[in-house]
Amino acid sequence: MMNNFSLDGGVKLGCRLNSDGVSYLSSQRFSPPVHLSKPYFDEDTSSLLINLSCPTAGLLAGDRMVCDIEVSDEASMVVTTPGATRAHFMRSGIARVEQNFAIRESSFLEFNPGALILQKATNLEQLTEIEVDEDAEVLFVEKMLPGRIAHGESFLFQRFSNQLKIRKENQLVLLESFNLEPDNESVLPWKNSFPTPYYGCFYLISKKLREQLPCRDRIQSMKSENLLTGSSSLHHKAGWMIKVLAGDPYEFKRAMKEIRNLLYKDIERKPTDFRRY
Amino acid sequence: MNASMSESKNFEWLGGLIQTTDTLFPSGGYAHSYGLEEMVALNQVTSAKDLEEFLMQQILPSLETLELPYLRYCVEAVEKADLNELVNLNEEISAWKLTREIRDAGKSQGAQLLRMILEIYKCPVSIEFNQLLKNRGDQCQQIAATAILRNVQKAPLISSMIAWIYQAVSNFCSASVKLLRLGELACQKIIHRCIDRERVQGLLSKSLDVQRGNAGFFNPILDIASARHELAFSRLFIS
Repeated sequence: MMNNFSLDGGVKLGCRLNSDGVSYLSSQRFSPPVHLSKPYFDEDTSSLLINLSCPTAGLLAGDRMVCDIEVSDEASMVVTTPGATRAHFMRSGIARVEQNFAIRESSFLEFNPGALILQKATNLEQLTEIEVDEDAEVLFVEKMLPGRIAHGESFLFQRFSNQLKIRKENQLVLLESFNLEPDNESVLPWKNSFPTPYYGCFYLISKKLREQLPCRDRIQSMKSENLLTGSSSLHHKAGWMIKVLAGDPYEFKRAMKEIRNLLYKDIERKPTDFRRY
Repeated sequence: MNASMSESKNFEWLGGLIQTTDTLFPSGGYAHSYGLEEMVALNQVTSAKDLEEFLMQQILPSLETLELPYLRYCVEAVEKADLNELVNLNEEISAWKLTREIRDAGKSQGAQLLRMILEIYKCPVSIEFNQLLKNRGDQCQQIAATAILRNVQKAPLISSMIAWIYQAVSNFCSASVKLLRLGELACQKIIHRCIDRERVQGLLSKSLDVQRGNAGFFNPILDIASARHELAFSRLFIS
């Protein structure tokens, strides 16, 4: 339900290579609730780093945020956010996030925002579609917290509906869809994994990794009392999914950072520093 | 005599449904634990009580919002003889089976079931469907094959869904006997409670409301368990 204060905006970006072989923003358009930082070209990794920030400090009832990104022409782009994305208290109505990513030719996109925090009474719907060309690569990362855990808020959100579709060369290789409502059983597997469960997932599409993921054994061995990790290949051997559940924020952060570095090594790229100070 | 004859006519499909749901029917399910073996290794399921909770809190809800709706969509596609739609559904099923072992388990059981349908029922739909999948370089998922089977048996949708619930629960229980200190009686009691009339009715009625775009379930711990099982040093089951 839209109200007078809700926002309908987002970001549309195109990234290509210029004549010097440098990735640049060939097109950009953004409007609240999204603001775009000045792009930074990391010479060391040859990637363009983009920070998306949210001037409204999060998503509110009635907000609609569309994120549309196309990387082409063998460009390389890393998109992140300076902090967590908060879905706030909603008395009525829902917030909606629509994300579309297209990675063409031999381009690369890492989309790795801060964690999504499902705050008390929030009602959020998120739809993500990713299209990847044969030689293109993408690292898509999701992190999710069931509330402001430091404040003792956990699983008090109203509803979170999430759907992710990944297509490689027009073939559906991943369809992950769920509706989480703490009032019913839908959250129990997550909720019962740890007293305060932090969830993260990497989806890596790359034809370099058709047959194997070299860092798989290392990811498997990261398991500890407070950390569970597992990796498996996607349909049509399009890439890999790495899931992480952690019982504390430090272990979670450490694992997510290490796995990111391992995955970059396996696709023979250098990870771009997010430059968060 | 007439009354009993007419009753038997109404249940012509029942014999076939029982035969193909029975553990004697070579579906290949006995070789799979669908992630349970690693759930046991991770100490997530260690007793009969844990197993029952696992089934009630993780498996039945996922049947309600994911597998049963997809079985229904597949049955509807077969009834309309829309095999292209069935191919699309089969592709979606492979895509939402997030780990390789679970996806491959569905494929190997689907392929086996298609063979059995062809051998027993001489069903031309299964040949045509198999050919369509081959052209796309894909394999049949168990849910899609089951929809073809139930159609050829003329089994009503609700009965087909109840059979699917029973098979899912009994497969886990069958695996659990080899993984936990659990007797057959304890297993049967758990199955009995899982397929309790009211529970199944509630599950079916909610499942029938799930629209195509909303079908899904979130179980990161079972996904991780299944993924870890692929690299497990020793294992009893294929999945």
